[in-house]
Amino acid sequence: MSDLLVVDRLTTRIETARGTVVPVDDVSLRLPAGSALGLVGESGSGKSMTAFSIVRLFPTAAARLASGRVLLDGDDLSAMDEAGLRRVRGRRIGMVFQDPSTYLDPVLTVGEQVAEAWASHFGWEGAWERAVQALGQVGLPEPAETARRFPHELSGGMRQRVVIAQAIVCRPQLLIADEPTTALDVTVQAQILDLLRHLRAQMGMTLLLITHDLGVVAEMCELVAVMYAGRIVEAGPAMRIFLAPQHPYTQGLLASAVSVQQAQAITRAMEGSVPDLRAPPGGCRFHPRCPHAMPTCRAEVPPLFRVGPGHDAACWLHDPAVVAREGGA
Amino acid sequence: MAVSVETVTAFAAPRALRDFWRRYRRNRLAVAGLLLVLALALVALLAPLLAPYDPISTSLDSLQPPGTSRHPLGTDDLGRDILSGVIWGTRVSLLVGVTAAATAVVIGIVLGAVAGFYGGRTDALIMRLTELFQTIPRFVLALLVVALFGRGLAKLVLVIGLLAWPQAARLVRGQFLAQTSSPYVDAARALGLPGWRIIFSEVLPNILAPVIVLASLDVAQAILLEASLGFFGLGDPNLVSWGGMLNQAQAYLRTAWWMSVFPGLGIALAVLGFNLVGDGLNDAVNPRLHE
Repeated sequence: MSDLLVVDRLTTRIETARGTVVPVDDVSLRLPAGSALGLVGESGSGKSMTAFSIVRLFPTAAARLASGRVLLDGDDLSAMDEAGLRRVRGRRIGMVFQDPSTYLDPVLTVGEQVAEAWASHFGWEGAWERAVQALGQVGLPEPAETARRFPHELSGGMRQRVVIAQAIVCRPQLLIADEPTTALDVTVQAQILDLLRHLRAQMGMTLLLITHDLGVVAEMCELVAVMYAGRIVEAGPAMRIFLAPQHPYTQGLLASAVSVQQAQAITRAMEGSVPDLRAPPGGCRFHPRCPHAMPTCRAEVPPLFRVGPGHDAACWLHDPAVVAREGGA
Repeated sequence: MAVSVETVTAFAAPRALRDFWRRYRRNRLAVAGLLLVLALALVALLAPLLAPYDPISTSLDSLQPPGTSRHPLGTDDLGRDILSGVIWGTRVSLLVGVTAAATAVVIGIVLGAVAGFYGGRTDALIMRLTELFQTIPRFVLALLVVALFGRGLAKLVLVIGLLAWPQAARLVRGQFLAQTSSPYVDAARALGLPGWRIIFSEVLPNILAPVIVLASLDVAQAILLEASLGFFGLGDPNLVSWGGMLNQAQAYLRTAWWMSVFPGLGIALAVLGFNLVGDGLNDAVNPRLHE
């Protein structure tokens, strides 16, 4: 299986008045064509910035790619100029954002907005028909009618369907969904996830799903990458990571997730919070919160250790030499 | 005015428009202003039918006081009918006012949008340019330009338009700065929309309301400026305008008051009408200001 998206040692910096922040630090990801990868982490872990860095759409002008490469089906996005990237955005990479109500223009009908997404890459001829077709594909009832409505006339779930229609109207190879269900009711969440799964199967899209919700990842993705304070701490097949997490952070994250099957088990909250990225702790960034921290963890950044088939974890506990010397707990 | 209402319809939901009209209607002065503007527009359109005489044909009945059935508003020093002059003058004033304001607003929208959307150096350059234009006393420059380049109607429009754009540019820039940080602009970027399309088709309709308010106030100012230029003898010499009539009336202020009062009334009513409409639109657009 060839890789559709390769993120290779990507680093993004933001220059602020109070120093440089590195929200994405040496991040590597691989998405085979047709796969779904869940990028998981707490708020502020850099997962959304990783997505923005892939298409180089930064929320602030002070952010820039410092190093690393992004390959989409062999094309180096990191070497493209703005005009080249514009032709990739929307056409080859679709994006779905968190809050559908603010991501739609309030004064244009939803049909116009979907048509515009198509027209900016392929011209206006047939754009409206395409828009209506896409609105139908995302499960909106009477798409031809709905296309003439304004965003404020639709419910939150319907708006999110419109946003998804915008993202898929050009049939992109990759769909990046950044917390697509966080702002929605639980019942609507399930419908939107169903829709994404259905579209993925139907159109053969590769999916990069960014979420803090492990349940969503378990439902949607075969692959998982866990981010902490700007770095990937663990990556691998979803089943392996859920059943046998190898990084103490992932273990903590799973322990803090509520599961119906384990209703009697006590949910443990993790101690501490995500560090300040202006002054991250040295060595392994998780060491101040880690129950197994060893001296090496404070001094040196752990590399990714191979812990199983396609399964890596950035933790010194997987270096036998370090464990033998310092006797991990 | 009819133009601005149509523009709003084209972009906003019908219900929003109904709400807008409901709020506008509540302001009696604004409704009066609207009627005034509509009446003036009607007079301008129907001038050839309404005017009893050719406004430039002279007669021996010079300096007739108003009140006669032949010349209800009297005649001037050359025996020209004042009523006909005032009626034809409406045409020139409204034409110059509306087209000059439109010129100013279009230039202002383009430059303001570019400045606010792209920011950085482009923004700094355009903003310094608006400041430069705003420091020059408008009227003096208008006088100079008209004196140098001649006094055709088109030139008047251009001069007034070129002098009034900075205000619109600053307004539009401010609105764009606020809108550009909205998520829907990020979303448009993520969909690969080109910059000009984000500016004109996504953001611009969102900020149209304050621009329309400013445009109607600009019309009033342009009418005033055109009249002032006419008063100084710098209007189009081939057309009857209110300013030009006032210019004629200067020498007869004491002996023939009607020569100055009626064209002056025309100017005052037109300026008042557009200002009332502008204020009314402003209140209707920002209902919270008065509730």
